[in-house]
Amino acid sequence: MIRRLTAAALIGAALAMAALAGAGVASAHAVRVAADPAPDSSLASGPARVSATFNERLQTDFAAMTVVGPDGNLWSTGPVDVAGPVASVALLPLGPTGPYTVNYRVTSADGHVVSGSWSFTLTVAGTGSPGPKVGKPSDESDGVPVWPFVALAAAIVGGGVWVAVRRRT
Amino acid sequence: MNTRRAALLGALCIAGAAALALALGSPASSLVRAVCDGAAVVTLGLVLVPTLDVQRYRGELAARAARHLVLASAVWTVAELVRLVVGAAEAAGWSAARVGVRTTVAFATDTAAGRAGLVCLTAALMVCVVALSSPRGTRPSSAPWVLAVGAAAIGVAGRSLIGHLSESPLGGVAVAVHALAAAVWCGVLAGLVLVVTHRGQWARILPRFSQMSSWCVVVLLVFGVIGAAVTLDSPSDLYGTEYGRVLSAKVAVTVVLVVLAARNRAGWLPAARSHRATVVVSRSRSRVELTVMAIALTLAAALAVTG
Repeated sequence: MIRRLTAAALIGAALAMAALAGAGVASAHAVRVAADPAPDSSLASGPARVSATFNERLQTDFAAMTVVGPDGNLWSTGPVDVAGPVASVALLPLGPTGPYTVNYRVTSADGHVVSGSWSFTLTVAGTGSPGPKVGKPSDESDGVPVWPFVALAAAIVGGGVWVAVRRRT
Repeated sequence: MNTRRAALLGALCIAGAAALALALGSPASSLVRAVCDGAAVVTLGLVLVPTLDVQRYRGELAARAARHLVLASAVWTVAELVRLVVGAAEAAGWSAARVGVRTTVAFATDTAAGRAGLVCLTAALMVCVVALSSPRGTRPSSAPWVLAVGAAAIGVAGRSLIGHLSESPLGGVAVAVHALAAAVWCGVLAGLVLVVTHRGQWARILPRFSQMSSWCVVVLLVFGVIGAAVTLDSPSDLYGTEYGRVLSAKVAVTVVLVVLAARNRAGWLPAARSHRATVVVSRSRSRVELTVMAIALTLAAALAVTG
């Protein structure tokens, strides 16, 4: 009993110390190492594309990248292009001056999801017209839900177990 | 302490460790991983446990393990399935409740993480089918036993190969071997707690387990250090990053575990060998060790998702 308490106390102390050390930047997963245009930069005219470079290769599936302007409209267009460690998306000709925010969510080669954002500022108004308004998260559904199938599989496995355990007792 | 209370204590420990892992900065899906990894480890252990007894009693021990094996492999299979769906939801940015069949299938076939999940799910299912179809247990060296051991080992180590260190082959192999050694050590002990009941059995089995586990610990430490050295850039990462902090916590738990194991080796092992330790003593010793192992495994699961 004493040994158990000692072990528990030791673990508790070690974990508490670790927890109190405060949040930091994770190093073991993909991180963004470069952005074009650079974060917090000021531009006189909009670039044709925005891109983010990571320290690891990315999965080509499930990448998302959007550019939202100061008017709350979407200024990126077309699909996200992933080439090696670089994810990029095309931009419409920009419109009003002000901050444009690039949001991204990509999956690194080891399957971890990395998301974040950065901003750049347009100093000279352009003549472009925006894409759709960025509203609430889309209500689109993902087609046939998967959970009924998971529940069915679990029921089949559970049934098998029940039969096997009953047979034995 | 009856089995139900022991199970409750185990569940509490895992939940506590998961909560701590959350506090250390790893995402909620690490709980699914912890259940999944725990079930995989127990499955591997239950398959291996009969090899520890002398030839004559192996069949009997396998038969005793059979029911537990069915349960553990079933939990493992379902957990792998849930883990695949949760992984798909995470990758696609959907909430786990709304994710659909299309996204899940695309994740499972198109991404490295999804394919690894599919491999582990297949391995778990294979063990489950073998367990269901061998009502008298899988005797060591029989064909179903070899199949079950192989599948369980693939299920335990497969994901590590593509985990954190997919970019570094050395690191990937190191972590896979590390995970396998840890799984054998913890899993077989869990199997012993579930299956061994007589003083005589402890006397026969414990010396062999002790020998096997010391090899496991050596392999675990050597390859764990290699893996950490490959992953971390500098020693200050150990407390400066979330990943490093979970890793430090795991190192601390491992130290406690090794000290505990060393003390057991000095006291419990000679007593059990000469039939002096009662079943109650043997059980409580092994359960304490198992409790700390459960914490270490949960932190390991957290380590794999943190960042």
